[in-house]
Amino acid sequence: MILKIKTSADVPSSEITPESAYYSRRDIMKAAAMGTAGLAAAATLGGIDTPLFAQAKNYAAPRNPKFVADPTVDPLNKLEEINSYNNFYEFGTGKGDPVQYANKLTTSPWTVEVDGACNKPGKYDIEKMIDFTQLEERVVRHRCVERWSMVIPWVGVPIKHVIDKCEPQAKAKYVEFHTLLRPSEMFGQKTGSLQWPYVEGLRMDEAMHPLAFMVVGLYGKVLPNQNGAPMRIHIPWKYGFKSGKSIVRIRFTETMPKTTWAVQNGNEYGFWANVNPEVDHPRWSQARERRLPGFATSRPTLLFNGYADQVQSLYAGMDKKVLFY
Amino acid sequence: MHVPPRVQEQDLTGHVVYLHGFPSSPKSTKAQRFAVECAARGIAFSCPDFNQPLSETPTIARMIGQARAAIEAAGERPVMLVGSSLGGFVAVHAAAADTTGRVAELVLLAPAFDLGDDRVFEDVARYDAFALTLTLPIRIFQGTADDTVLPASVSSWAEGRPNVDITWLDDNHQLAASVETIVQAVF
Repeated sequence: MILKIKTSADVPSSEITPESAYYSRRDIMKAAAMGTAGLAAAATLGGIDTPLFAQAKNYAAPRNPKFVADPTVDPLNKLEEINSYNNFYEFGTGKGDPVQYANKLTTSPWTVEVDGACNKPGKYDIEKMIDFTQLEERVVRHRCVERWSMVIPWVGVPIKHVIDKCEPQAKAKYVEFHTLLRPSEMFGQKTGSLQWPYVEGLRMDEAMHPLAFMVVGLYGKVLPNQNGAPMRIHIPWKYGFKSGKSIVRIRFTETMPKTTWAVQNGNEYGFWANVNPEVDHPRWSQARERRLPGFATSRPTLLFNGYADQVQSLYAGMDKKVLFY
Repeated sequence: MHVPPRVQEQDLTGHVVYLHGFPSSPKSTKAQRFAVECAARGIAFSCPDFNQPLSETPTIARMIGQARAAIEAAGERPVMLVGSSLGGFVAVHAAAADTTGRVAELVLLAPAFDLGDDRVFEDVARYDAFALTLTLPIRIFQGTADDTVLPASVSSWAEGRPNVDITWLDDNHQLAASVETIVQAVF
């Protein structure tokens, strides 16, 4: 009675999971309802028409085998777990709020402002920032500072690809990622729950690391709004709040960015925020984590969220007290 | 400016299915302690009685069937499957056979993985816990002074299974002195 592992490193998740059936069913229903054809017209995600930039893009990208979590240890979370439980305070502070309210967000057209210490400042269309012919799928762990975790099949490009287009100058030591500020579509920005816009940042060598990913898709489809459409970063070895969503500005700086949660509550959330089971949050232990959909902290937390081999050299010689805060 | 503080856990809803050992019952001390904890936390709890129906000879197949029925009856909530002693053996087989996709985690208390020479259940030879591949998070609590389930059998089962996390306790097979420790660690 052996339960065979269904996943394979070189098959996109969209072809091997029930979600592909879910999506194709949705697409067929939508096409039927519209009484017309056209791939772009029929392609929907959660009831929202596919934005222009995303039409005809092949999000069912090949998996990069270098960045695929072991399915015997970290089985994929279901799409409905990933897209209905997360923090995106722009749409409310509850973890069920983003899925409920993000459908108002307009993601097309989408422009990104590039500024600071770089040779290519300006405003660029998303298609100029992301090379959609180079998309790849990765299956990585995601660990929230609140102790819950998931395993997610993201589609995107290394952040390095995006940064290279900006030609940062040698004096650039950090890079900021700003989230969209649009209170008319993001009601949370009217509530003062945080300082807006949401700003996150990385040291340049962190941002250029192969694991640092610019995400535009999920489960082989365009990224759902509630997960940070149309482009968001994901830094697998850091707590989730480091991974800004719906990015509209990339800014290169010489000094450490003033990131939103560090400004908000510097005693609890620092700039580095690397996952570490031995450094507790002031109000709770980080030794264990809750893997969704479970409700108990049934898994031990891993140093650098299990990516220590790949990233710890970034921090050689740094004070541990600083590094994990 | 009022900022809602982050919290460590939200939506701690779920369903614990507790599989008791043998000879034991849903009235066992550990089962009752889990039931009390679940009630306090708003978590649903159920514990199939492997002694029922009395008219039938209990088999491993019947117990796995009872466990699976309890999992299905839990509805849409994620399930934590807890198995004590023989219940641990049933739990790993029920988890492997699960088709609901809702079993989120396993908690095993002195699990009897090795029933090789046991003659109590006529169909035991058909079930090999060591042959199972399970991908969900598994926590084991095992007494180092257990002379019913040998600690070595537990270590052996966990070998090569990186999703298994063993907590060793200075206790015997009943784990009576460790119940509070276990409950605090699990929830």
